[in-house]
Amino acid sequence: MQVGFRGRALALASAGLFVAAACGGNNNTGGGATPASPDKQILNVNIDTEPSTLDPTQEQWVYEADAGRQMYEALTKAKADDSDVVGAAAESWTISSDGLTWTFKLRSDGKYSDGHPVVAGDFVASYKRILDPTVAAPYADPFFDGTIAGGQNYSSIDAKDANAVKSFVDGLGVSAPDAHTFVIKLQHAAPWFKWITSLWLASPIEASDLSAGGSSFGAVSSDAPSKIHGNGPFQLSEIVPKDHITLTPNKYYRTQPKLQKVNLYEITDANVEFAKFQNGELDITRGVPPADVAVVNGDPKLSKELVKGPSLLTWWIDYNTTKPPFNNADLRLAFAKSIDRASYVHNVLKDVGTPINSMIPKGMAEYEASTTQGFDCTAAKALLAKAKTEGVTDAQLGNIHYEYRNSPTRKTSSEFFQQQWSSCLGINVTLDAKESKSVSHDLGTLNYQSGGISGWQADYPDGQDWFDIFITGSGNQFSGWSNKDYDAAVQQGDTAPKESDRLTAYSKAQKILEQEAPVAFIFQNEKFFLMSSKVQGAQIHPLDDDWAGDVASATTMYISA
Amino acid sequence: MAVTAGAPLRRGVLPFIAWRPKGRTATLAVYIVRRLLWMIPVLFFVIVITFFLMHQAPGGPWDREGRQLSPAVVNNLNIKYGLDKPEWQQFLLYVWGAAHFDFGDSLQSPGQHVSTLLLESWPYTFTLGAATFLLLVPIGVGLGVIAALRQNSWADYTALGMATVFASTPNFVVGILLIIVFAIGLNKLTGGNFYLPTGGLPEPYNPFQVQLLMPVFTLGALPTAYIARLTRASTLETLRQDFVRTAWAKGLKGRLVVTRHVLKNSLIPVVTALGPTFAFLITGSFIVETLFSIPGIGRSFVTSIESRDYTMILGTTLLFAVLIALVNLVVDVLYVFIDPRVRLSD
Repeated sequence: MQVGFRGRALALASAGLFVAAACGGNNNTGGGATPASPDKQILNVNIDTEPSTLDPTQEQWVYEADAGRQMYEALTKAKADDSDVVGAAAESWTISSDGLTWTFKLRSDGKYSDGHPVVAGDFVASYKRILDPTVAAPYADPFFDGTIAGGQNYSSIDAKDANAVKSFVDGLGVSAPDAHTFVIKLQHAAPWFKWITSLWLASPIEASDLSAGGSSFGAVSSDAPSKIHGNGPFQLSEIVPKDHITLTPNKYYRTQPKLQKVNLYEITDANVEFAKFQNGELDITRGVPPADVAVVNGDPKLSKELVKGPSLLTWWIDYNTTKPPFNNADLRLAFAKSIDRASYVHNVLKDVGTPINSMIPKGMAEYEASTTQGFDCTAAKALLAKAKTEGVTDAQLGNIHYEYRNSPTRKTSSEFFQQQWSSCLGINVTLDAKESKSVSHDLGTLNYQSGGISGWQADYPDGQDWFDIFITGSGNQFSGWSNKDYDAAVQQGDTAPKESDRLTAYSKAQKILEQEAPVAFIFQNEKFFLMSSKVQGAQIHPLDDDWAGDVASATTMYISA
Repeated sequence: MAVTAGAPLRRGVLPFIAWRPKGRTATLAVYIVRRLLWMIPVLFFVIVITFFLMHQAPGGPWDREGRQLSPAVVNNLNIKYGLDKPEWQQFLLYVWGAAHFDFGDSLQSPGQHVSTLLLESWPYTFTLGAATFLLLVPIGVGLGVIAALRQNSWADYTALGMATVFASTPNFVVGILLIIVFAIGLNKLTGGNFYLPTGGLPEPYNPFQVQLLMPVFTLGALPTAYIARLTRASTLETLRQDFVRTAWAKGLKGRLVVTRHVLKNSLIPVVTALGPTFAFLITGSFIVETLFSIPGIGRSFVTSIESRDYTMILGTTLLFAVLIALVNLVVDVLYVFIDPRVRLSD
């Protein structure tokens, strides 16, 4: 899932594993209150930005999945404790002994919001659509072309050659032997493939919608409600472009939600969002404006409506390991160890977040506490001295640049790091504030020294989604870092059939990553938003983005009397 | 029907060529047509400059934070939107398309035409801008004239004071203050009986909806102050002219002196300023539209620049260029009616 740093609340408190809400003052998740009458079952939520598409296969941002996950349902979904997946559009599945053939049995009562049944052929079509080079679905690679048989040729197909595209798509290992059986063949055994089948983009699309929509299927226009019919619990009811999307229950869905209307508003300004919440115009916000965090904590009513809890999202500082001086691992570790993360979270993030010294966020099975990168100024100075004996010169250290995306929040963060490096190591780092796209470009092309901060949010709670970031040649690391031992350990973790073997392999990889420090891990995100006390039955979950996601949905929520 | 003579045919089929301008109206018509034709090369150069400048900007539409798009996906996206072709070829294709009113698909909103998106958002911006302008002209000019006629009186100081305050307060401050006072404060004070919606414009074409009150005030405060000060200065200057003294001396009634002699002359610079002001208002303000959640073009333009949505940037710039050119033309034509000394020529 794409991470946006929207100036909203950042990271978290030391919550235990698998905590469903209840970390904050908000205690309206139990669902014990009496529901209000059906005409009052209206939920008003802010999703910040209008989705750029409603075609599930092309969705890539949190605010798109906010609508998409309610409208569509994939084969499986995450279990409430993140440990595994459970059936959603599929009621059961079997995996062949070699781990290569996955056979899904679809629910017999699965229906789209126009009443037509969900058939296995629709899954075949949408899986093929994801891998169709002419559609260019953003998440095709690596989730689908790295797993599904035939998909490995994705990058070599010329999208302009219609015949090549057709034979590639036809040759993909997805098929429907009958209307309720969907078979996927894989390139190699991948125990984590179950999570891929739970991704929001792997949802069935009704054949008639797709043929009527053509290349504009999924367009977010006012006539979309008559053109897009999902198999999820809610359906599109109204779209006012750039203003709001209204969802109403899909009356053909197997269980009917209590909510009769969900309005997804697209309010970008955090102050306006906060104002609207105080006025009762919004029931759930995306965050709290940084300047109002203290106000909310101190207000008797608002502090009770505050929702806090961990999210599976960590942030780190990037180093370019291909150029001096950050090609020196000891120097990188010295920089990592000279940042007081606790002070950062307290003073800069106003305690909205948790300090972290490692990549994997708390809440995932692969999380391990570590002090390798932990704040220790004495050790940092020793490492700096060592780096100097290894060829790092004072001239290099006097000319270090750190670049960041220009915004008030990031400016404060960057100045904090600058001050830490100066006070602990005596190194004066120059800060370069740049426009967001320029920073992305510089990081992506390794045209920088140090910068950030970069974040990663779990697409699914499996180590594979995280450790693959730092394998050699990965487009998702901006460090240009390569380590054979790390690659081998990750390869073992990604493919070992036994879960315990996978964890051992990932643990080895994690230690290499922390010691070699291609990045400096700083903090884990915390959910920090407001939910009206009249909203009941919400499940706030680490894996989810904000109020809904893989585990939680609007189906369990209702408005109390 | 049989054609019997050349002259009627020429007049009927090619009126513009056959028509030799005679008199003021005819000159005006020819002038307007020529100005409209001149817009074509102007728009071409707008495309040239915008196209090459935006491609110079670092980063592209597929650069982002977080999970990166893989090279294979980026390659396919480039092919899908024709970005794999050399820049000069993309440019020629764009010009060719634009000449046929095809402005391409938005890069950030798959399956949506730029023209559809523009036509969807501009009415909101226009309604907001036009409503602001309709209030701005009488209030700005009125305050300016009153202040000038009662120079150094309390009315003058009040008008000037207000103008100074509004001219120096940024609109994000004005906007957020309005929201705090009217949308939240009064709502709480009156137990929910008095509440002003913060915007959202349910009807894109209706300039008289209550949702417009706060955004119109926020958007209009600064230009109104500017017009009021300009009108005051210009009116004061005209009041000191000899012909005005003559008008007073020959015993004309005060109202007549002001309307016939003073205003007609003092408003010429004001009209000159109102043109660009109107163009500014109907091309949207990012801050006002974001603050009041108005789905207008000012917001989408800034978003498209941030996301390097090349086709959206070009489409919006072209629309702005057309609007500004048209507004300038209207102002030039208005001069003819306000100032008899002005003669339009090529």
